[in-house]
Amino acid sequence: MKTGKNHNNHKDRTDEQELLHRYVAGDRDAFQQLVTRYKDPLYAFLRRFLNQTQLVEEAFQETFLQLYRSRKTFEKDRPLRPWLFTIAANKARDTLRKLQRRDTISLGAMAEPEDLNVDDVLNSLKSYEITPYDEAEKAERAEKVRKIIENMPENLKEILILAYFEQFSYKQMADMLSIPIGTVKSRLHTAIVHFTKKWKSLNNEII
Amino acid sequence: MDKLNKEQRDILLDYYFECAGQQESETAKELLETHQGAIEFYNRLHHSLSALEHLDHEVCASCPDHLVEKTLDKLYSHTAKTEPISQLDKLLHAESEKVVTKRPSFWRNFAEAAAVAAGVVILSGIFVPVTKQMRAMAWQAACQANLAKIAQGITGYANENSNFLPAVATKAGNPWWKVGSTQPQHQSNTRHVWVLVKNNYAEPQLFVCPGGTREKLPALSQTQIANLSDFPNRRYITYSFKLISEPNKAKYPLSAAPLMSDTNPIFETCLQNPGCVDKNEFDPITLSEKLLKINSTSHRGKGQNVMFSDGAVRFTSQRVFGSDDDIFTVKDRQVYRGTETTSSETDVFLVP
Repeated sequence: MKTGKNHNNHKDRTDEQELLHRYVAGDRDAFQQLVTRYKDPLYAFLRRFLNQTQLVEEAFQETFLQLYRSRKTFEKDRPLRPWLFTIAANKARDTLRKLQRRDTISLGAMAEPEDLNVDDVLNSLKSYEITPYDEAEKAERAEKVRKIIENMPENLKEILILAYFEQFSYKQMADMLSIPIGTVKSRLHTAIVHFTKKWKSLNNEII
Repeated sequence: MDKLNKEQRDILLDYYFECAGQQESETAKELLETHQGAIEFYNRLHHSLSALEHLDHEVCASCPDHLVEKTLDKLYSHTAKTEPISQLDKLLHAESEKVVTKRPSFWRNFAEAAAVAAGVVILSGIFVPVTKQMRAMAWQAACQANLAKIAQGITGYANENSNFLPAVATKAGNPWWKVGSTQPQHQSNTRHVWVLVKNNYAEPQLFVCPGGTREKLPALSQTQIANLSDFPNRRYITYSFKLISEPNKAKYPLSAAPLMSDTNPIFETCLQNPGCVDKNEFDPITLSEKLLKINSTSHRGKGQNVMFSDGAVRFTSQRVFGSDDDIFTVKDRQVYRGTETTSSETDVFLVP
């Protein structure tokens, strides 16, 4: 798990509230400051989701344009981050669908919940000792992880990135994806099972 | 080694994703101190998912500056293009473009033109409103007839199903607006009334208000009806139905309560946007003074037909019934995201 949740301190929240009020009123300078504040996490999120520079840049621009356009419907007293990532996830999904239509290849359909036991899949790993890797090994493993994520069904990829990397709460993810909390949990479990199985099959000789 | 049960596994997963409540966290910590199976499970989970950290070696953490500049440029050029030109500028522009020609007998031509125009205005003033009004009344009556037949279907269904309203399996918090979605988890509130079509309690064409659309929709074949689990899209159902979040509680109301009406006007614009369903996006809507007053557009905003559980259908500009209940909103809710539920049976919410 990535270290610690992103808990903004009180001063950050107050600053953000003020920026949000100005942004809703149409203040471009405030909007620019919000872009500066969220550009890096948003870019990293889209890189994980889309993994192609051109697609990432398209979705990045579309996300902020949509954020600006829909400022009047934004509730000023709510945090911006979940809303921004909701827009980004939708844009990323749209981008993948557009690509899918254009290339007529499957880029990962929506996965139906699998009735698989996380425990059993994790137990099938031969060892969980973490061994140090050299740089070449690290690069090779990174490439494998990237491939697994790229080929994951869209809804599983999305939930894994939101939960693991962005560390949103179940409630936030439920709101963002318009699904009940129970579905968030079961989808996340399916994503873990899916990732673990693929990771295991790619690294059978190691783990 | 003790095997973990499902509940313990879930607690450990929640704890791992830092989504556990205080009590769950305590339980997780205790398990990790005392239960060998829990320790094994947690370590394996960590080992498996820590592979994801490799992604961060590849993902450049910082966004390139040129992308931010490009985004802001695009935003500013886009808003500049869409900013409205002032009315004065438009008039000045039109004036400068105007071709001025000398007319030999202005007053004669003017008098003739004015006489003809006056005649046209008088005649159209008499006939156009009358025909418009007659047409609107005919559509209103046809719409009432549709709802009355659907009411018969609902009553028939309830009589044969232990006094329950038509309802399919769903859960509180499911999106109620995704009409035509084939995803099992996306259960639009229209799926409940689709049961009436599927089981021959009502004809599919009854669900389209003649006042709302003049579009001729392709008829649905029996095979299509049998294969679908919802209306194909929003154009096939222009009525809003009582929100059902818990099918086992969807009892046919004993007293006369609103069950169905012309489209809920609050979400009408949002859901008419084809991108809304295609893109799976429901742009949040905040109630305003205007939204609390508007009527359905199916009848020119003059009011809506409302069907009650006693089978009556009334055309009314009123939205509030019973104990101060607005049929188009959830009590005390200001912002709508398409997944709302009501907290009591008396709070009727007709959607989508």
